Amino acid sequence: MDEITTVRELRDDAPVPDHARLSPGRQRLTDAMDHRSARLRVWGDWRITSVGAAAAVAAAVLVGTQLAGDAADTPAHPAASNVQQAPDLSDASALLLRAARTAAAQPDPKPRDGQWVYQQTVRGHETGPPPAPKRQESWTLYNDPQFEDWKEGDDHSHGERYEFLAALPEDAEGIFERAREFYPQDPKAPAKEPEALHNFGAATVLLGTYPAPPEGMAKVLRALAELDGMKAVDHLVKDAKGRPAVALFLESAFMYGMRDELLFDPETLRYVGGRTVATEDSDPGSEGPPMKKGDILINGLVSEAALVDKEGQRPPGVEKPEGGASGGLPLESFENMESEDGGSRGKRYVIPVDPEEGGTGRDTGTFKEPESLKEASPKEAEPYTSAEAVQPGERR
Amino acid sequence: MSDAAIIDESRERPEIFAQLYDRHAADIHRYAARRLGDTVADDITAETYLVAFRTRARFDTDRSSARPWLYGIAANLIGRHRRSELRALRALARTGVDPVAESWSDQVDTRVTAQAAHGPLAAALAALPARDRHVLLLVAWAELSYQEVAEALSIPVGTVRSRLNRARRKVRAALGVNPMVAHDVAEVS
Repeated sequence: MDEITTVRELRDDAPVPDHARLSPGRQRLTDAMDHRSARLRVWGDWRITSVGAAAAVAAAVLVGTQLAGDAADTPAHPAASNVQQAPDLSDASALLLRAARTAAAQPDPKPRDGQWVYQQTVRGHETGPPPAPKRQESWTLYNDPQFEDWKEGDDHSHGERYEFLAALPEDAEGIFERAREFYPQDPKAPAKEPEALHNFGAATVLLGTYPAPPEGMAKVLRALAELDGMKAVDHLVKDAKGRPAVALFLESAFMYGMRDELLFDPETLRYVGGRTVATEDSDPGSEGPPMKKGDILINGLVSEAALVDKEGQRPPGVEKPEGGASGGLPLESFENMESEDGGSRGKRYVIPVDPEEGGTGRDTGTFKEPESLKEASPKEAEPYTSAEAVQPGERR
Repeated sequence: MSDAAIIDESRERPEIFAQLYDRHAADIHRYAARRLGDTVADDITAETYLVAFRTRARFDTDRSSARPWLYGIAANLIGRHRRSELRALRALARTGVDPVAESWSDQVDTRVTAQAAHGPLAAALAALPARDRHVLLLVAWAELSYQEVAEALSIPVGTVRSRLNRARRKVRAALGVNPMVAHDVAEVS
């Protein structure tokens, strides 16, 4: 018997889905059509897989944070925090050094071979309808041999990443050199990215390591503090759960109209996750829908991370996420649409960001239900609600 | 009306695009289900069409069928789930129980036990590079032609052939068939 026949027989009993099974997907499609002229787009995860350059970004965004679990779910800003001093957003380097001290003070999870890494990721506060599912959970073997010894390209096992961080040298140059080797550039990339951006990208992925040795994480953050071009967004933004966050990024002209930002808790400078923001209007053509400056393309964090003994096991106190890892969420209405200024927009259809200032012109206008939205050209259909921009020092 | 004509028309009348869903969603769903289980297939099917709808302006309407294009989008989305795909294949190889097939079988009933050949086959599929696995399964499961696979994955037909040959050789070896003999037989028949 020829091997193709054997392949064909595998899972050949998969059922043809019936109408009931397919209709929610059809509904999602027709919902998307209804809003076509509203310039809405669905940032499903297609971008993650179809834009090579974004792959590492996405991995970093979705892999998230060293200290998760309960701390991540505790409101970052109790009322008492009103007395806290707002972080100085003019000095990215100082912020990163504070982040390094926080990282160094975290406990070492002390992983062992054979353990499983449980993670629950959250996406949210992005431009456009929320991705489905918004929460996902995963179990991966700490020392999965399939992801070791470069068998899957630069997708290293958790164990390899832990060991890599544990063995980092002290100096920033040495750290970045090793990081570039560990996360090499895609040889098929259309253009070679500048070294600074490669350093930043590799560091971004490393910050998403869990489990990680605390001092290794601190080294990565200290190295970033020495990287020329690191900047902080001049106001607090929102993380995937809507909490205020300090956003740090590398200023670079080489980002195809997008920018990756690292998000930190404003008080402790604990690394919480990351997001990708459009920095100019652009039309990526076949790679996806057009983007407008200020669009939040991806906003993700890890809400829970823990070592467990068995696949399928959750750490104590952690429930299966609502909507499930594979269950998918219904498309919510578009109430969570957000833009670069971090404001909650209510039912809004267009994201206006002043191309010069990125900030002026916000907070104006009141929302009107666009009755003739379908007929309106994109230019005409631009009502929006007032945005509640989160400014440094403000607490909601 | 051809798929291409529908896509063309959908630039003026978006709602007509839903006809493509009615034509091909079941195939895309079944293919995704065979790779990842049927609940994941629900999402992949829906997302495939959302992506397709949003990028329809770039569809090459010289191609009459949208199937390769849709399978290509689905393959991209399936690629996101590589770890879980590999986990299931390795579980099947190790235990003879297929977690993916369990997703659609009655779980209260007896567990799905695969044929004897499926263990080594699953191990071989798991060991393939992702790009070779895409080609092999688009041919064997989605029943796309080489040309269609080339369109789906945006690669030259020659690359489809070489990836498929490599994948087949590895699968053959895993099934314990002499690669040379099997090759001859396949060519004669």
